[in-house]
Amino acid sequence: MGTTKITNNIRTLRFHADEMTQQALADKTEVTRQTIIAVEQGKYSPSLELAFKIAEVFDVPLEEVFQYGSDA
Amino acid sequence: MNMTYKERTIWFTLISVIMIFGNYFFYAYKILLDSDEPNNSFLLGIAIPALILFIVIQVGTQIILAIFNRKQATDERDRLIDLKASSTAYTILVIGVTLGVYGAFASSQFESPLFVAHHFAFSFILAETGRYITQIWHYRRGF
Repeated sequence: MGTTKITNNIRTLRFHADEMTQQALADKTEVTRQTIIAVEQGKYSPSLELAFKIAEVFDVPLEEVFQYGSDA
Repeated sequence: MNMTYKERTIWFTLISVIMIFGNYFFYAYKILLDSDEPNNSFLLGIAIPALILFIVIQVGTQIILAIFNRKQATDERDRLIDLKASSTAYTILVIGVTLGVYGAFASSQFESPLFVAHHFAFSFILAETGRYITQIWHYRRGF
């Protein structure tokens, strides 16, 4: 059985959103900055709700923020 | 180190639990195991100050942390880590209680109500320590 991994483009999207800070993104999505850091580094897979909130902040579809891959 | 308000609180609680209750149980078990008739009032005499000291340190650190840090509401990751840590604490507590029940039948030490009380209190403190360590582990290493 292969392992699955969720990757994301949050760092790139923040860069294109006028260098939005992690704190600003955290405030907009109502989580702590440490949670944003953990998501960005792939250490924490966010809930569906948080994933949608992040996509909404950048005004892009969910799949543009998160990608699901399997290295089976 | 990049830490949330909650993680800082957990670190302070863990350190104070280990320092205060670690010391208390070290001396308490020494007394309980070494003497045939342990002095109940002496044990109570060190248990109450240990408990008061723990409460004072907890209140003090909470005040200091609140002054020097922006208090943050907990989010979904905090709640998930709490759940994982509760599972660890529960497992440790169940092991402690099972050993206590087994000890009541198999060990003469458990004839003393004071020893039984200390065994369960120690299991509880160990379970809480396990909870804090699990929380810190997940905050540092991620999920």
